[in-house]
Amino acid sequence: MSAERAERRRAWAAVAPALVWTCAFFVVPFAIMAAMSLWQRQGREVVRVWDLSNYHAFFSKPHLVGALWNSLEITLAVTAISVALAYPLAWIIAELVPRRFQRLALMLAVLPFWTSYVVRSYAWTLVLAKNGVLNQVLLGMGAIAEPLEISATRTATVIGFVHFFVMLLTLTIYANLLQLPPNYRRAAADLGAGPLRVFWHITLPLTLPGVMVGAFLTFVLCIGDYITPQILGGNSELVLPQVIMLQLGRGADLPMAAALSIVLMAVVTLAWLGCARWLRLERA
Amino acid sequence: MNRLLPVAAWGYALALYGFIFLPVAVLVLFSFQDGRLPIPPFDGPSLKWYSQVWGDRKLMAALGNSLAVAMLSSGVAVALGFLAAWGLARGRLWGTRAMQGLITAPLTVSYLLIGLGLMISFNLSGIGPSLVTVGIGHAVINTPLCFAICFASMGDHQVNIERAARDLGAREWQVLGLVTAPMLMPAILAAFALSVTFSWDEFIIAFLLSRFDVTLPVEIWSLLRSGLNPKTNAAGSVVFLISVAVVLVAEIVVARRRA
Amino acid sequence: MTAPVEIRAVSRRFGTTLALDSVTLNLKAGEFAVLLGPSGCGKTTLLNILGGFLAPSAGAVLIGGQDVTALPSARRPTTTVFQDYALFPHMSVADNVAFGPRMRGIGRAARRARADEMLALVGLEGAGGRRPHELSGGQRQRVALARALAVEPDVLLLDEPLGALDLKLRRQMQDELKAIQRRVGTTFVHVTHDQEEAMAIADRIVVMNAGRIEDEGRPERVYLRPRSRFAAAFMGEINLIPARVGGAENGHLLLDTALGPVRLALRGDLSAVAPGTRLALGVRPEHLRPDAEGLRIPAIVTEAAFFGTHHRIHARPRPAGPELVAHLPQAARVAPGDEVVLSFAPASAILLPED
Repeated sequence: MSAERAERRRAWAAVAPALVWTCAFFVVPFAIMAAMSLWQRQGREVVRVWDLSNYHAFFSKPHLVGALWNSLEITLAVTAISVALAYPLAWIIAELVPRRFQRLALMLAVLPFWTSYVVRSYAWTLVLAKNGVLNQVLLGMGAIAEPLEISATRTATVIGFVHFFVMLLTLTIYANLLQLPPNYRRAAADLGAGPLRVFWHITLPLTLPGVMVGAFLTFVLCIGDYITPQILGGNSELVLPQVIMLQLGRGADLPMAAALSIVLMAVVTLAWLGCARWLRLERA
Repeated sequence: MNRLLPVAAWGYALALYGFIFLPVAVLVLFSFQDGRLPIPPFDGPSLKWYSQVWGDRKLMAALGNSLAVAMLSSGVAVALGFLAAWGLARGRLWGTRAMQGLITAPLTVSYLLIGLGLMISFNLSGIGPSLVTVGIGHAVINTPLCFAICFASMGDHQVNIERAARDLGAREWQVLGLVTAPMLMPAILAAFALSVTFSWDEFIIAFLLSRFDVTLPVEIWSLLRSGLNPKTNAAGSVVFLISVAVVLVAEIVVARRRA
Repeated sequence: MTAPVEIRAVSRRFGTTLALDSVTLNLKAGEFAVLLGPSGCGKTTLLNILGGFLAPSAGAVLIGGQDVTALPSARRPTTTVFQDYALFPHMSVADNVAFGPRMRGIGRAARRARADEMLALVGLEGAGGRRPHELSGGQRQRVALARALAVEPDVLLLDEPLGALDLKLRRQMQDELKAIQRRVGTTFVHVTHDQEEAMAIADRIVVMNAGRIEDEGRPERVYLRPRSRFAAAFMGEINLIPARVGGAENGHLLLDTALGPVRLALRGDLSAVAPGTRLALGVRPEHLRPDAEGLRIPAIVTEAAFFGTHHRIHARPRPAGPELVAHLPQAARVAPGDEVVLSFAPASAILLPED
């Protein structure tokens, strides 16, 4: 009995630092931010009056609501395209590449991961610039007559994002494919299923939960990212994180930034709820 | 059909590898550019931009800052995460699930929001931005990661190994230091390595929580203000080279341990 | 529905190790064959080659007279019951069983009916709507069997299918497996390392070791007259008594053993056995009895334990000789230190090569 109590006390002592840390630097700041979203900026001061005027302002200003829609559109497109591109690659690495080269193939597929995130977006500006590599190669080949105007557009943002998330998703989907016990596929083949039907009836349904986790991760990281749209997207169609960062610039409006952050948080939470329900349904 | 599938598959893989490598190849190629713009035509090779990077005091200082922040914040994150994982995996505590949820909660929140929350809070409590606040921010985002990795590696069979150690007279700190931690060393090292790379590459928190001393991504960000510039290519290539070297060393160490 | 299996000089190499060394084996249609051997003996490799999951490095496999060596598993008239069952976790039990018929283009209603029929065959009526993870180990085993039988294979391959079950359930499933096999008439090839299981179900036992077949035949024959030392020892406990050929006289072989002279009646040409050749005489514990005729061996009991059907004793022969294990009748009264006189009928002894 006392041994059990001692064990429990040790466990509490071990968990306590992380709990305190998380509360002090995550929960409390979040609460403060939530509180601040209800305050107001007046001149250069933050006044602690409690109302929903920041949220009201958000929904009544088209450029703010528009930023939310831009964010959602870009994020959904990026998630769909990335999954569609990464799944076949992961499948090829797991199924067609010989075992001993799989690790190498995977490392190569995620090698650009190790460039700095900021630098990667910058590198895409080099590729997509009006007189950049892509345009010059295409013009040289005679594939196009006029240089493509991709630079500083939504397309550039999507390309930059897709590049990053294809690598991430290839990694997670490959791990999912590997975890699949080979006997399921063998059993299906044994019962007469050809390669395509094995994939459709066995591999795809069994990896779908993992793919959903990857897609959710993509959604969360993409919708909260500031760098890629800021470097690649130009100033015509701002996304939510860019609008948040604008509030911190000249004449900082911290309450408004906090309110926009809470909106962003709410979107992610909704996505999480949707995903969680979907995953649970799949398991039942 | 059966003959077409591999051809199509390899073609697809090749195209996607091309897409994945395109920006890195362009980045590295034009870091050797002799001219003033990192766009075609390529008229190199030249190392002049690398010598500029080498001579840039601010960049070099930022590199040192980044290393220090990455190492220290990752150390804190691993220590917190490992202890918490050990406590929650071992003792059957009341509210284990809730505590797990709390500790892993920062994983589901955008870095931008974590950084903003910390910035507002530090602001209100009069703590000025510095490398320490950046380190705190990075430890906040990496603790749940370290916790998850360590927690996943704690199996039931290790409970009995720890009991055996206690049974043979080991004190609690000895159990932890001589049995549990060495047993979980692969997970601990993996968690530390991952934290270091995340911190090393993190921009938005570092941007929001620092002022005079900055980390490398923030310094590179300010380089970008000068537009397309081969010096940025050179700096980016150096970062890439360092990261790849670290990954390769880690890979070799892991392979050695397994062998 | 059923077909004979012919394995012709099949070898399989993994890197530098030879997992199968030119194995030849013929199984009749409708036979229940058991591949028996310790782990690493090559029995699972052989099963995987039959199922089409592994290609042989050399040799050929014929099923129903047709060479299937080059066919993938999907196009072979075989199905496999996997050791871990490999039930599809995202499908109901009925969908699992109906999967094979579905792959063969059979309509929904027909394959439903087929699944119900198969589930009834294995004693799982009404369980079709459940998910694999809701079933017990024994039930999963039955579903795997039903799924494999639903496509009416000529040959059913079973890879240690009872390995994960506890002993009691295992014995029960053996009986059911045997009964089901008799009803469907399909050729069964079953892999196990449990010789009791092999004896309980097999029409033919194939004892394997180090990539070769040591012995094969009816269970009684392999148990009572094994053809190798390995088969003799793997099929059950045996006392091996060193012996030397003393000579031969009118159909009898004279042996000098560590326990005294033994006269064995043997058929065939005895002149091939040169005097002085070293051999081993194998005697099963149940053939060592206190009342039998033949060589009499006085001995001291060193250990005794009651097994229900018999007493199992260890005894040290006097004045000398290798320690023996014997099964004494249920009614016997023995304790360590007792003196017993054991004997065995020469006809029950097995002549085996020395090591």
